[in-house]
Amino acid sequence: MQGENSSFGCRFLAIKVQTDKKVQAFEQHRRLQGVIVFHRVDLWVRGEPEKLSSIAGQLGFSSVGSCFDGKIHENIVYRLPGVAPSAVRFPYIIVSERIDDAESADLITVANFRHVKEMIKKKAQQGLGLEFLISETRKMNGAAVAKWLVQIYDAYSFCERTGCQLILSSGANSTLEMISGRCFDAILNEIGIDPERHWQEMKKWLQTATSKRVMI
Amino acid sequence: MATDSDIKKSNDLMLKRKAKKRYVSIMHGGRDIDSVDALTRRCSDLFGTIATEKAGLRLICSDENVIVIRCRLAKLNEVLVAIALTDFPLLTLDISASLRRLKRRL
Repeated sequence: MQGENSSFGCRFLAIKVQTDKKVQAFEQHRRLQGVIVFHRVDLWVRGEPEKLSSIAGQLGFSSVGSCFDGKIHENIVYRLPGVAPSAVRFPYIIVSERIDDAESADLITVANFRHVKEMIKKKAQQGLGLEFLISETRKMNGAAVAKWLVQIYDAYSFCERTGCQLILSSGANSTLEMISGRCFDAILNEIGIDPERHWQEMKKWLQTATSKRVMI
Repeated sequence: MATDSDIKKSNDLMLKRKAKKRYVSIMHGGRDIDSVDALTRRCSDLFGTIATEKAGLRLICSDENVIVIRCRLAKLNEVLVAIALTDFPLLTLDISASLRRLKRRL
């Protein structure tokens, strides 16, 4: 019995190693072809989770963030207001809109960085995510959008200095309000941020933030 | 071995080339003409009328709730930013260099 278990374990490990090698080879192949492999994430989307997980891939996102509705879906990172009372089966991050929660939350949604910069300076810890919503700019005129873009660059340089993570999210309330991955890259370029580097940093940050929480 | 005159000639030829274009498919929630109008207005609001004219935005075809627009490759970034920041809900689905390939992927 023990022998069977160990042989099964060996076979499972061998298959896993083989799959990992295949994934690595595929990514390596794409890189050699000049394709940049992005793992884009949009951490704020509201809508039907089933639709979201299917449309996310089409729009160039590896995962999206959404509120928890009781069901678990693939490629969705759930946004919770506090730590889950027990171990859960899904990845989640703790979000808040109050800067006072900077110590307990993984991510804080910021409306105006210039107004709260001094407070964030005092309370921000390394690894805190500062989230800005693109949906807020839709109602703004050209001059206000330009100011917003400069403000995001300020936040980006602040994050570089303090070890925080800048997060750009769509703030979409439906799938039609979502922003595609290619548009995200264009906005990042317009701000003056290298998209490739940004998405790599985001991937690392999200892995660290979700691995902090207890999952089954 | 290419001489200086050959390089000059090739540069001249480059200048005579047609500007590269891209086809962008966009999902929208209203009338197709309204969507393109909203996009053009937002583009000129953000980047100016000259840049918008240079982008050469054109409505190529429209289906139920998907439109295909054409723009110059040099101004593609600006157009994508304008699509993302337009108040009228617009969602970029795909981008391609040829209309046939874009339609095949849709």
